[in-house]
Amino acid sequence: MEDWYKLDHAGKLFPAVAGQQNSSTYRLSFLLKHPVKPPILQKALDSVIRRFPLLHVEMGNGLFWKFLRERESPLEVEPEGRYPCAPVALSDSSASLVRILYHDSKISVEIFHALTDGGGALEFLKTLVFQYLRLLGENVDDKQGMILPPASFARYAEAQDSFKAHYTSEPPLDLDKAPEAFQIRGTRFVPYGHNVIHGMLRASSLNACAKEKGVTLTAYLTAILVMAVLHAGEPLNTERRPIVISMPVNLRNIFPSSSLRNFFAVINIVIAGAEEMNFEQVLEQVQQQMKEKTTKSYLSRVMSGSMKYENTFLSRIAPLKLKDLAIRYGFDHYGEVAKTLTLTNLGKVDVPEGMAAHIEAMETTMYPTAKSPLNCAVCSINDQLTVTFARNIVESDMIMHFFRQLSGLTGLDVRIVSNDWGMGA
Amino acid sequence: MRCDSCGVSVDPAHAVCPLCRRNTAGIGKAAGNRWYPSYPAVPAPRASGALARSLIFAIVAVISITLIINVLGNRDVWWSLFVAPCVLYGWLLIRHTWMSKSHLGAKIVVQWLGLSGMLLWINALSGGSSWSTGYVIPFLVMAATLLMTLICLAKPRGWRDFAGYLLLLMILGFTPLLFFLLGLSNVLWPSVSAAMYALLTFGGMWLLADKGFRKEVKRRLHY
Repeated sequence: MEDWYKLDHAGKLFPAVAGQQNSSTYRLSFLLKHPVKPPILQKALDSVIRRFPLLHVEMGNGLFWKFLRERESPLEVEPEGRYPCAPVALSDSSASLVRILYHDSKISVEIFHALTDGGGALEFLKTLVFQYLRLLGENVDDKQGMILPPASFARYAEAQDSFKAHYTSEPPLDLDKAPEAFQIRGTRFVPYGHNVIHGMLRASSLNACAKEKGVTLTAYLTAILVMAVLHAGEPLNTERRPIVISMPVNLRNIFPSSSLRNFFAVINIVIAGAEEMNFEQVLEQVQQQMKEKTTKSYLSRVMSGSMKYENTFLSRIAPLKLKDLAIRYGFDHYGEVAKTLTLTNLGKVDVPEGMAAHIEAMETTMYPTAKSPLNCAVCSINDQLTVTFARNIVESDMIMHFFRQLSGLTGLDVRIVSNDWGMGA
Repeated sequence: MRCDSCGVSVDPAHAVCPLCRRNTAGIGKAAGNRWYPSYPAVPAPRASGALARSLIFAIVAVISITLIINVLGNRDVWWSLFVAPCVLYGWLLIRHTWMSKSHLGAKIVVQWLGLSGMLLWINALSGGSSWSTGYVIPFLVMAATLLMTLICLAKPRGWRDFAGYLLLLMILGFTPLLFFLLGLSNVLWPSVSAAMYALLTFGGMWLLADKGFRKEVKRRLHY
């Protein structure tokens, strides 16, 4: 078996743009009902990581592209000590790009985005916690087949770059035409770190509220987010720039793929003139755009838009350093300026019944960046939905507006918990 | 606990509402946070880069002062232009080779580039024969390649850690030949020797070393 992998199409972006203020490292966690036992977690990790060799890698520099190769040193679980989504040590070519953390009754995985997306990370976390519970002697089984079978890693299918497999020559979207979006500004935390605020509520009740309006849960939350940005940022939006919510879409739901690597596209929900709209009007626009932009044909165009740069002869033969500069320029001048913030919804996470009984909640945290200092991530398990805001700025008005409005509109009880980074607590 | 201002429940771990920072009604002693640890106090950020900035300032000062002394004094000989490359090389030596935590392989490559640059500059100023491009640079690249080869063979993780730099030096081994072809040097044999040495090192590694080298070449050159 080969012991190295090329970076997938989306994965090529992250090493070029990563830095202290853009860690490109996201987090997924399960909050269990009992405190974590680290030695058992380590045993579970030792057995599970063999099933996920794509995560037990380090990054090397080639002449034309970076690559991933299996690490020699074992991966170890660590007590959580740093702020969530802290950068991985990219300058150290033998450093792990994955962290397995525990704190009290919470198990978290933090993964550098070049390795996989939320879909791949979720499979890993589910398998790890499943194995952990089994080693603890808990009565958990997987009759429904929700956990990846422990058979050997299916290299061809699971390490596949699905972008290449599903790329078609559809006319690409012209990203140059995207208008500059309204951007959230604020005071960076000193010392730098990420403040995380989770809001938890009943998923079924929130879903019912969204259904009542005839929209999806994601559209409902997105509309509330747009209103929150509007309220918190309106005085600063003197140029009347549109509010743009960037949304990663899991392409595995649209194109058949069992890849455990990155396979997502990003769509932008653009709300121009929101200051003259009420919530219902914003909601209607969001729902309409989400419907239009999640069709197979639209997503194919998004894919071909980004693939066209990678496939040119010039970009293939250009030295790595030159490519990194070009990618960074494109990211800063076309990607980051065209969005206000990112909202990612991992969706409803299903785990085997016996395993679900041990899980109280889950969270997913999306790292903030220099130009997108506040991001939002959503996921749900056991009818408990968690909305997570991660920010690198002191100002939190937007988050406050969001939860106040969410609570006010739905009448649901929202429970708030935070890591209090930068709050002097 | 309830925050009436925000209309949300607040986890008992918090003495104040994380949204509005107001005290939550009826809060007692804050419980431990099950979600997050309390972060240790982080010391104030060091004035990182202060030494590096001082070094750059010192270099600019030395170069400009020598230039001014040269301009205002004896202008028959432009000696200050010889000082500048030496000072810049000194900066590279301190900043990249001594102070930085860069990979040893990167340090060797950068040393070759720095030394070659300095000698080329001095050679260009002094005129006459092209001793730098003709002799010194080809032999320097051969020495650097030999050093890297020895490190690759001697270190336990040599292939993994150094083969990329060795490949880079092999490519750079053709630079002297390029100098000759561009007319920047008029002695052929050292340039050919450097290119031949690079080729032989590559061929020798390919044939004699274990699979590690071949795999490394494949990884490093994939496009």
